Amino acid sequence: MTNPLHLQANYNEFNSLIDTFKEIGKTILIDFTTYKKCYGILCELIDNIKHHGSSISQEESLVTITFDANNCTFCARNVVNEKAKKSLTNRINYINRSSKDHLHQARKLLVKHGTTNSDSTGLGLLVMKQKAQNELKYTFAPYKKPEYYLFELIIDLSSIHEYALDSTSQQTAIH
Amino acid sequence: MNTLSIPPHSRQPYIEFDPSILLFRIGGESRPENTKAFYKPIIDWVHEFEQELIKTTNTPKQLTVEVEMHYFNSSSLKSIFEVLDAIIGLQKHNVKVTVKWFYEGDDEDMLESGESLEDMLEFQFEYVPR
Repeated sequence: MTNPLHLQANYNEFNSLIDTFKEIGKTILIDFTTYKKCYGILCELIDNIKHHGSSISQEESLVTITFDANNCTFCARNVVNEKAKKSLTNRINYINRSSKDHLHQARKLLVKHGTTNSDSTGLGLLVMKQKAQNELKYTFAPYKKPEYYLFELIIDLSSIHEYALDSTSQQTAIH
Repeated sequence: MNTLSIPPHSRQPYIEFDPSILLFRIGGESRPENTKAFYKPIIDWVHEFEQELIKTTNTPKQLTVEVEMHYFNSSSLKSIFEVLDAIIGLQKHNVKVTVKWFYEGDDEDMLESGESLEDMLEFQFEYVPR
């Protein structure tokens, strides 16, 4: 039984997290294509937080990557307001219930005709679903400020490890 | 017109457009802090080039686009689409455009990205594995 490798970064450490992932991802993941898909998901998660997260509490923003047995799990957390909560819920539910072909058509429409910031959030979520080929999981937890929520987005990729992880549990905080 | 030349950076691609040999090249990684601000001068440059093209004689020309991206994020996808769409649009001025899409042989993700853009642009690419 192997123990997970865990990478974690807060808002000010996102660029370092990308650099660290570039260094270790190619040695852990099963092939170059999988590495590229994971890299793409990581960049999209960070972009979404940077461009669309609420600015009232950047200190709550966090991205983690856990390599565990046959899975790679990405988790992104940030604070959003009531309007963003509704929009994200609608978009993620729509993306999760759409077929592969439908997502392809939706992406095409957003690229050719989408103009708003909200559209670019939708495009990022859609691209992550296409890369992961797994459902986007999410939660909204109450936040200390009224009408704001702690949004958590979780993305799993399965069967993607090249090498067994070290038997010693590893946790890396990015500084 | 002068050559358009933007050097690569960790988050932004290199851009080279030499109008004297009608070769446009873009490559590297694209996830700029401000995607629209990065790509706007490039799209403007293509539109200026189009105006220059209209002034010249209508002899047939061949323009080649070489794309050699390693990664681009979803907001860059929209901007790269706009750049390529503007260049492909030059065909109405008697310019034959060829888009060569270079990718690492085992990088299916980037191949799929090319195929997706090809579909969006409704324009056939040439795929060149490295």
